[in-house]
Amino acid sequence: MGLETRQHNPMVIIAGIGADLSSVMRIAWEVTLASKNAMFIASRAGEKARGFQPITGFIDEIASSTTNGVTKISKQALAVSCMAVEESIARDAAQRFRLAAKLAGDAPYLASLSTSNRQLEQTLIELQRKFAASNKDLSDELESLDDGMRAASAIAAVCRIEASQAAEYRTNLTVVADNLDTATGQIKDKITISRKRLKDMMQIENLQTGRLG
Amino acid sequence: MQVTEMCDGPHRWLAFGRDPGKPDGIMDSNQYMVIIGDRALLMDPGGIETFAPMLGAILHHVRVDQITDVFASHQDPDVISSLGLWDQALPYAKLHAPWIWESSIRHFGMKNIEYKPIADEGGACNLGGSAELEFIPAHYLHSSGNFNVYDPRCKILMSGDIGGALEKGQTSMFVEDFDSHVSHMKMFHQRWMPSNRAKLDWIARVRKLDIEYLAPQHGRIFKGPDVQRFLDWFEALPVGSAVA
Repeated sequence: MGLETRQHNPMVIIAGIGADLSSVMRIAWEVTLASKNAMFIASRAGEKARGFQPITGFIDEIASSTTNGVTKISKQALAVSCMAVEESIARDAAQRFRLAAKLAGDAPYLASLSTSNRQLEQTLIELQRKFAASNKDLSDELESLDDGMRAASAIAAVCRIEASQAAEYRTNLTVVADNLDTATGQIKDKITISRKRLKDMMQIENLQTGRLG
Repeated sequence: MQVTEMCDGPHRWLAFGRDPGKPDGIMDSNQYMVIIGDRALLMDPGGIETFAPMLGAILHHVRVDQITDVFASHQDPDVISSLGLWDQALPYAKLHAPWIWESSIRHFGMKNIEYKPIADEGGACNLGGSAELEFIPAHYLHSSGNFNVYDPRCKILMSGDIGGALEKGQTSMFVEDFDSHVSHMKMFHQRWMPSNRAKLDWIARVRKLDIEYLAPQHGRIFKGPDVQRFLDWFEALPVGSAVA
């Protein structure tokens, strides 16, 4: 299989998305740690970080929803990866059955293959339909996660503002804001890459199976 | 795919091999089918790459639903890696194969075909003919769980890897000059067959059978006096060459 074929292979792409998202999980865990840190510092700062305290709850929510979202998407990516494998196997089988029929030529018993052929073609169509639907669901989940990161970026900006008014706790709270912003950016990048790869794959799949994009 | 008829009448044996479209780099293999009445047993059906030419060839002789039984002598990919495809062509068939390889063979894909494990002592398959097909133990030659198929009516022993030879090109299906054929078999048997004890056990067992054709999974088929010549030659050959 050439490099280009490997790059466009649905099994490889979906597995790659799953692998990318597992690194997002690690980043989401760092956001969780940042939120705990922020709560601790804000608690110690008391009145001096009064404006920061409510934000720690939002940071915690972001961490939680990101972790949950990534867990859900990882499971979906795994299921879709298995489906990609099944579809690839079924497509290969259909090609081999067609080749057998061609090699059979004018064989007197060629018609006896028609039932198996029909079932195989139907299975393939059904698998392709499920694969397309699952890819759409995966794409929607990635979009939802992306929306969450936009909200997280906004919260990081607010964190920075509140941190600047926290007197001697300003430095520590700014670090929290920076960490949140960095983590959010990293997660967004991974999501953007995954969404593009999924979109490209779906377009190629649609072309190959004769469906409209 | 070249098709050679080895026996006619109530039991009709066909040997399939020498596929001109075989991809380079994969071992050439012989596949066999015996047709008894309205049923057929497909033996060592071959690897994934062999599936399409095999199926195309078979349809000249039987309907696909006539193949009620499949046999795998052992678990090697050149024997049975096409199983996932046959599973879709023959959803109601039974696969007769060594009991020890069931969990391995299932890795090739088996949603429909029923696995019929063969016990170490052997077994039989009755397709409704006048004589049962016997599964003869051939363990450790080379696989730890391994069987041959013997048809007493046609006096054919499908011997799997035993008797196999590695030759290039489109060779004859039958051994024509035993002495010159030895050079194509020697390294294969010395390196692939691990146990002299297993070899002698098999030879003692098989000498009790009346065999007109010894039909291996690779190379040429032994006919008539060449069957005994092969047994004598194999009996004297030290095997298990990879260890001192």
